[in-house]
Amino acid sequence: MKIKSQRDFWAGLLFLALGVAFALGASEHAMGSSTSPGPGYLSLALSALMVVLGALVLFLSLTFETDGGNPIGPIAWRPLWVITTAVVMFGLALPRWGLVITCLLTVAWTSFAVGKPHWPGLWWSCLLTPLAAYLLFVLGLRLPIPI
Amino acid sequence: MDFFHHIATGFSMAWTAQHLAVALVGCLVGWMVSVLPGLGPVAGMAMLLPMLGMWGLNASMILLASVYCGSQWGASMVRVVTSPSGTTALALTAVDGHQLSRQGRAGAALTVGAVSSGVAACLALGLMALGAPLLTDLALHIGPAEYVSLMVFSLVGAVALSPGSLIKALAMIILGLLLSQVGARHATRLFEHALGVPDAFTHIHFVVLTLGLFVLGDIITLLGQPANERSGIALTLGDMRPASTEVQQARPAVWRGTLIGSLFGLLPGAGSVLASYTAYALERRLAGQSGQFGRGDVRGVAGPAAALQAGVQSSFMPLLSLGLPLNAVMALMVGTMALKGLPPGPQVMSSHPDFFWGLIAALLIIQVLLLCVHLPLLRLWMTLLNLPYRFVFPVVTVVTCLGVYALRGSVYDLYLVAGFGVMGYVFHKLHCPLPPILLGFILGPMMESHLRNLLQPAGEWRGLVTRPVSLSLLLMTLALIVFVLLPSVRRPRELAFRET
Repeated sequence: MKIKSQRDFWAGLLFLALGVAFALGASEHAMGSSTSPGPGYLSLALSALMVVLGALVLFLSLTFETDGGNPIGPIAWRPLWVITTAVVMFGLALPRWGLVITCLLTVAWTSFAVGKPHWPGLWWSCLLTPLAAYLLFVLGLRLPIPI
Repeated sequence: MDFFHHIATGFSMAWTAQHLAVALVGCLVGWMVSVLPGLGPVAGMAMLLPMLGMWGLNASMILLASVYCGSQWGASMVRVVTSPSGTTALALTAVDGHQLSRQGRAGAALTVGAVSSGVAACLALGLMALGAPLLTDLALHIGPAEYVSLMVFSLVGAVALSPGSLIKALAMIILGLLLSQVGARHATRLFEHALGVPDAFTHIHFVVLTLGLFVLGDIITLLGQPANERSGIALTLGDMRPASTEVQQARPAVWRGTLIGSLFGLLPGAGSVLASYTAYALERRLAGQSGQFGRGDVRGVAGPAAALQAGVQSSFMPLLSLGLPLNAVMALMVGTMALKGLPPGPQVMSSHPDFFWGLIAALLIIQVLLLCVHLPLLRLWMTLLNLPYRFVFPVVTVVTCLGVYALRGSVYDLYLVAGFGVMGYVFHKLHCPLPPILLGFILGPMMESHLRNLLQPAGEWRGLVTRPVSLSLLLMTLALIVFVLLPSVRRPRELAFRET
């Protein structure tokens, strides 16, 4: 069997997996009946529909020819890694070190997401972003953020 | 007269110093997100939403509406001054504006575009105000069965009239519905087990979902693409005034565009884009051989711009009269209404007339503001247009993180948003459209509660098919799915929507 559309093949698999996962989750809740559905009833029905659609996408990806096999293309590992860690780091740092240091760290770290950092630009961003964040979020909008 | 009474009610709500200031800020933010690379109205609104913490319903909605309108104005400007890429429907409608700007007449093209947009929007709002009482009557006949069917219809319609594979989009709706149901409960438990995070919430906040999917996911996607920085756009604006013959030509195009936009804006999905495309095609056909189409015809600027803005205005109608969001932007507004204590639905127009008419009046004020500020600030926007993306994305990341934290003061939400960012990137790679997730997520709880109302006394599902309006809506949904999957429709649809 040959995969005729890479993108649809993986999308189909993903939908199938998600459908099964949600169905397992739903089955832990009370089902009820069709006349008085419990908390798990609608979720299970939707998960089943999701599995059907996933199977359909998977089937079509193995059946219909697409130009060039519809490849997924290169995956941007570096931005993916840097942006995700930046957000998680933000969550870890904010309650400990406060707004200004956290913003500074996040701006500095995200600048490494692509290519070589542009040093003068980086300095200015590191200086201005925490300042602007402090002025706007804390002084201006009075949002409850640790400083 | 009733009509004038309503309008007066509206203005008494919208015409306060605070609301005017809010509208101005919203317009500026809207422009900014449309001009800066890699952002859009959904991203801009999602970044603003956490800042609305203590604001009331009216101010929040005016802010979001002005961001949306401002971003559409900005987007039309960007399309005139940058070179249109590819053969997308929107790029096609920008050809004439761009040709004019290459002839050194960008100023005239931008003036025509701005005035057409403003006039069309005001006319469309007038039509909406006249049509609103009809919808109020209609809304009174909507029971739970009709409402559930109407939601199914608009969800399916939204993806049928949007780019991408219909089946994948339907799966994405269901994913959104599921996330709004059990997703949170399970993610919560997972986090508690794996990370020992105690402060988990029982539901996913829609702003967290939006910021992850649409902002962080987009950043990763854009950084992963080969750098295509917009190279320095240093164009001469030239004379800002269009020639008098051009004004004569543009005027009827604006009327036609307004009509097309007002009708198409009521459609789910990318209604206003479709309107813009249709208006362009109509103008080109009407002009025939006498037109300068493709070489800088002013009608090719005025018509689509008018249709786009009229479409944007009339897409507020289903939201305000029925509580139905037809695209991702409107879904955010529904979420905000619910958050601010006014559950959207058919009762809003009769129970909160001041809100309804106030928003219509605010939309009118926003258009006047845009018309006054757009042209004078043109040079500022063009400077921003040249800002490299490497300066934009770190700041956007920080604003996103701060917003997520400010929402509920929860670190757990930050881990969640990182996860949604990865999810957004994965779905982008697999060509699965993201807006349906948001629509499903926001409509999910509303749909469930109406379904429970329907089942309440006797547990009868039959209401969905025995009530004529409900049945015909469900049949129309089915017909729409079959229609879109027909081979003869599939190809032109893909062509028309490619990369819009």
